[in-house]
Amino acid sequence: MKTFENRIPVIQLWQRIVVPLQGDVTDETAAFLVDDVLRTIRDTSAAGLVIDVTGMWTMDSHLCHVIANLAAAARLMGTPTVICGMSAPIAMTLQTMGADFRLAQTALTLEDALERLGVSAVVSELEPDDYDDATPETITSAASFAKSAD
Amino acid sequence: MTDLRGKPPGAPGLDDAALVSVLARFVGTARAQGILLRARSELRGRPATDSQLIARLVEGVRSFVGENESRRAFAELTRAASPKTIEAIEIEVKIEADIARARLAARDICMALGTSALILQKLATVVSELARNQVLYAGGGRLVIKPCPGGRRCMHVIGSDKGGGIKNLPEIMSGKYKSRSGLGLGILGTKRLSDKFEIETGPTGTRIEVEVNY
Repeated sequence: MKTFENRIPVIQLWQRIVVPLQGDVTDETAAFLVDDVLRTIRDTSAAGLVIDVTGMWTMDSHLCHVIANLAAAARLMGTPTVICGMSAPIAMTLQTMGADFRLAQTALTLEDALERLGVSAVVSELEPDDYDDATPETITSAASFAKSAD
Repeated sequence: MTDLRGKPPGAPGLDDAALVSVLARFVGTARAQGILLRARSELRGRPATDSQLIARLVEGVRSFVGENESRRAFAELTRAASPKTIEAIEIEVKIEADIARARLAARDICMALGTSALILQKLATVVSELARNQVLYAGGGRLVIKPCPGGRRCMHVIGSDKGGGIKNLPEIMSGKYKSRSGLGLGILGTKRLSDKFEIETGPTGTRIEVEVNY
């Protein structure tokens, strides 16, 4: 079933698409993902695709295959793919298995991945005033979280 | 709310008072009770292992303290629950969703053992590959994850099914094979990840035994 729970967000960002994979991605979810991402690429004429696997706790050969296929299909549509955020244990496990990721580019962090796709950021220092404004709200939400967790 | 404190049938036989006293050292008694109550209620009505309960408790602790503290909490909870924390887990694998269930069970068992993240990753991947092969090619099967006999520091995984067997095993093991559904690495990858690997396959089914040291 195509329900809300097994959908992964496909985020549009400066004409690029960012897909944050998280938790445990089932085969079913992965299949929807390919569909969603390719459709979004077509609809938005995206200039690049980032697949961020920071939040994944594990990746097996099937998921690798799905991601590699997605990257290959995106490439056919003219959109380069960068995979980022792979944890050391996952990288070592895939390496031991002999999984081949040469089809897609990889980057260490989301920032690196976006840079690889031609996005460069201008980061300005946060003014002390802005910081003061932000503080009370942060504290309030942290406190309400603690309360609800009790 | 008091009924949540009662142990559901089939739930871990851990002593609540002991768990709260461990948790209280990290988050205080009131929060410790809250975390336990919530974990118990989330697991209510479902058969759960000690390790599943502990994993939930640690998640609860993590929202109050940092990663290092929650790791320590995990180690201490495991110690409080030992020696019966590590039980053999049996999983019936029939549909796709069981693959995820199987690898999550592997994660639980690794967390209960306190293995490194790499070993957790290896075991979860091995279990995931075995389960997927059973679903895709054998119409389902059964997985058993248990500690190796004789107190060795290793985990034993047995996957068995009553499918038609693997006809092109030599080709698969040589690495030349490429399946239509994956990288063709299910079995070969499992072998590469494991410290001991045995396979018997024939027209009446397949049995794969794997050991992963930790």
